Amino acid sequence: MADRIGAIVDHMNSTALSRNLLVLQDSGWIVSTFAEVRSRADFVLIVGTETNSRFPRFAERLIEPLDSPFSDGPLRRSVVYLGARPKAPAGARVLDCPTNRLGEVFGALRCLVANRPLQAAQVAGLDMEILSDLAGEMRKAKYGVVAWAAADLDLPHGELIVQSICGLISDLNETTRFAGLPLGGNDADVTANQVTVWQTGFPLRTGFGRGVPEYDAYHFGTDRLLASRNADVLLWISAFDPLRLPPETDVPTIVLGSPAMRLAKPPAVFIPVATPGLHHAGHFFRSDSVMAIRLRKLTDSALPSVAEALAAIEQAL
Amino acid sequence: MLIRLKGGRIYDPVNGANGAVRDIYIRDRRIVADPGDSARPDQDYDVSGKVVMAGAIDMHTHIGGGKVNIARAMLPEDHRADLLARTELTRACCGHAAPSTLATGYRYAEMGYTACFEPALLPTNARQAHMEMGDVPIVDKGGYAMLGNDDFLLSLMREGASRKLIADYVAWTLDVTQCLGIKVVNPGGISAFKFNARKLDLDEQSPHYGITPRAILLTLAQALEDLGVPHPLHVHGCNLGVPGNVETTLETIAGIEGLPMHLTHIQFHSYGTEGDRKFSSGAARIAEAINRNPNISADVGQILFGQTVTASGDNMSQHRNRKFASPDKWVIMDIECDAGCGVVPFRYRDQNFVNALQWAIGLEIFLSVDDPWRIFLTTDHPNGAPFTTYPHLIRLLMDKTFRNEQLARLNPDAAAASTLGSIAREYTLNEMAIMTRAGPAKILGLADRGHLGIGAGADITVYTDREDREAMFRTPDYVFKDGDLVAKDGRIVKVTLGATHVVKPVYDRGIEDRLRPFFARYRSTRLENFAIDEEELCECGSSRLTVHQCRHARVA
Repeated sequence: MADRIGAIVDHMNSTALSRNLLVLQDSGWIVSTFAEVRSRADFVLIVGTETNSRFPRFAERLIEPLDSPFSDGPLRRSVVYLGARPKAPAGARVLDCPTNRLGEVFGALRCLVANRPLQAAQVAGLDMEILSDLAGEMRKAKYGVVAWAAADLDLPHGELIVQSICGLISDLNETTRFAGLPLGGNDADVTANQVTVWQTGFPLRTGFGRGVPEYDAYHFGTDRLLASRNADVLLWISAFDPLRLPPETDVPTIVLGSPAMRLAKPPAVFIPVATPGLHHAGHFFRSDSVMAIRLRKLTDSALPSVAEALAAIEQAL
Repeated sequence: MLIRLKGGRIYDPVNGANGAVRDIYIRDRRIVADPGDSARPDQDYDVSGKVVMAGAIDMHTHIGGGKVNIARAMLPEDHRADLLARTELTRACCGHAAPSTLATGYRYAEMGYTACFEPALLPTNARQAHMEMGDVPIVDKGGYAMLGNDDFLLSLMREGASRKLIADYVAWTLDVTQCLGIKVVNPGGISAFKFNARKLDLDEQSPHYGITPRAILLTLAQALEDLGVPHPLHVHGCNLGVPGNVETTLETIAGIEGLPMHLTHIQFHSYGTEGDRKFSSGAARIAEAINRNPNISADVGQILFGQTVTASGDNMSQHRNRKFASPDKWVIMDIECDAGCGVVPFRYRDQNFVNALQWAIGLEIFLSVDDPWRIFLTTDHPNGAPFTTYPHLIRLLMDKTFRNEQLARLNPDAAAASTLGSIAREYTLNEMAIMTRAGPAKILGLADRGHLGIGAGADITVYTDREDREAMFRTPDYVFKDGDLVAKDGRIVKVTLGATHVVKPVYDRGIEDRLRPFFARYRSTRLENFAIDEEELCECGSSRLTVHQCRHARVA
């Protein structure tokens, strides 16, 4: 439908997702997936503050299980949390550093991993000795992992932190194995991006206003389009989470949402829709972008799916 | 509805037609016998003087799945030079090195291709690959599931599991991933890379498992033979791109002990170490080995000059090749105790010695293999070049004068190091029909595709016979898919859905009792959520599942 009417396609989590995509498009990365991390990682650095609250089962599913097909006994796994007062389990190793100085930490680690001396006693409030030990531990790891949630790196040019993480990982792979683990996938953001990429060639924030797909990670962000009044209608779709409400705007808004959604201001149009994986079948990409999960229908609903609602709207155009 | 194609020159090697003039009749998606004078065609196409072939089949083209989508996401700058505008029939999308799924279907169909096979479908990523292939319109699709670096198979081999158990696992994989064949990529090497190995030779024991690539190849080839799967083991061998790998490839051919084996993108595995630059052509030796071993087939993986992107399961080789990335960005992934992938953009340059010689090596192989039924036209899209370069490649093979003109423009040292200039062979139309239609259908076991006999699926391409073979093969006059006219004069006139080709060898479901605990302990999904069924495939855009016969009943 976006193609037909010349709309721009974006996702409510795109600002975070873009931090990763911009790095993919500029320098690339070395990344891993859940089962590899769980089975192999002997060192995991978790970057950010809210990893365990954003992904409540992350530690339980990936970090705590220590049985591995590759070791006779339980895997010995070092886990370090790095970020602005990261929410970590009691007793966990924590390196506290402001989010806006994470880039400096990774820059310093790259120097240390490369055996380049740094004339500093501290970096971002962390003692050089601590960083030097950390770099040494990373170099000795057999399969190390750095996990981050781009949503946590919420500052201007947060993508540069992602890039410094990926640069460190790339350097470490000169001598050992190391991989990144970008965490996301909430509200089907990875799913929406995958489908947009394979159908158009471009990621989210692709528009069809001129008859061909045009991708612009900056100008085609929803917040920017609404603030500049360059959009004349907002179509907001949230079939999973009734708490994800459309942004406040004067632009006329159409909502396709769960009937449980409570909006402070009534939109121009509200169409209640069914939920994938509950009322109808569908697919959902996991955080690591590799595994697409089959969503099954569990119960009946009189409501249309988002696809059915959009098809009916397109029919009437 | 009855359709008649009247008076065309038929190139149908399966049925012995080499330019014979006859009419073709289509009814209910299939080619039918001449219904006699009483039947009046509803549609009549005068194709007299034109060249009529079955729809072309690309047996090795990376059209869908995780690594292809990474390549797309990485290359907005490449897409921007090749945007496809929306039309009444087709959607806005983009093409070139890593085209969108929609552009892939449109452009294959416009070139007269009616079936495409994705050769590297990771079992864990099968769902995504099928979703993407479902969004490749018009053409039929199928996939080869990747095994040989998955921890389950390697564990079975280490414990000395029986031939029967391994064949059950291979058949189960084909079944639940809805695939037509099995591919192995850098056997054991992708797994070894996860243990920090940077190379793994044919007879080198892999880390942790202590298994050699040779043993993996033999085990999988034997399993497919036991099951009667038509397509031989599809092999991307060890040491891709490494000078001197011609020896590895020759050893691989000898090591398979007569079992059927398909060597893919063999150009990348045909390099010697002679000359000042320690890089030379091994094409003559490779072609001789193929000619001598009837169990071996190969596709070439021709490179052509310009920007493209390489997307491979072989993350070990791709990590090595990252130094040549152009533009300078690359992605490497380790995936789910199953496999891996690597995506590296490349720009092949005609003045670069190595690239120019790679170009010549590919053409030398094409022109030195005697039997067109065992050599297939591929660029390993997009790794050697985008599939849209096929018409140019066809002209290089069919037109010696044109070929030598191109050779004269290359890096002169590379041209001097190649025997290409002295090869006089020009492929005929009949040979081209074998290499791009009849041959792929035969080696994949597609009984009703790749030919124009009674009962065949009505996938038909009609060309105007032109001296400029590039122009001829770029823009067919008519392309029919299952009897529907889908492209005319190189433009889409109807958008349809293609089928998914699979094979279903018999197996003992007891294998799932072994797999269930492995999935529960080490993988991140449950076994019950792994399998893809026909309903799901069709929900994702496939028109139907086409199940092909095994060559023989299962043995062992």
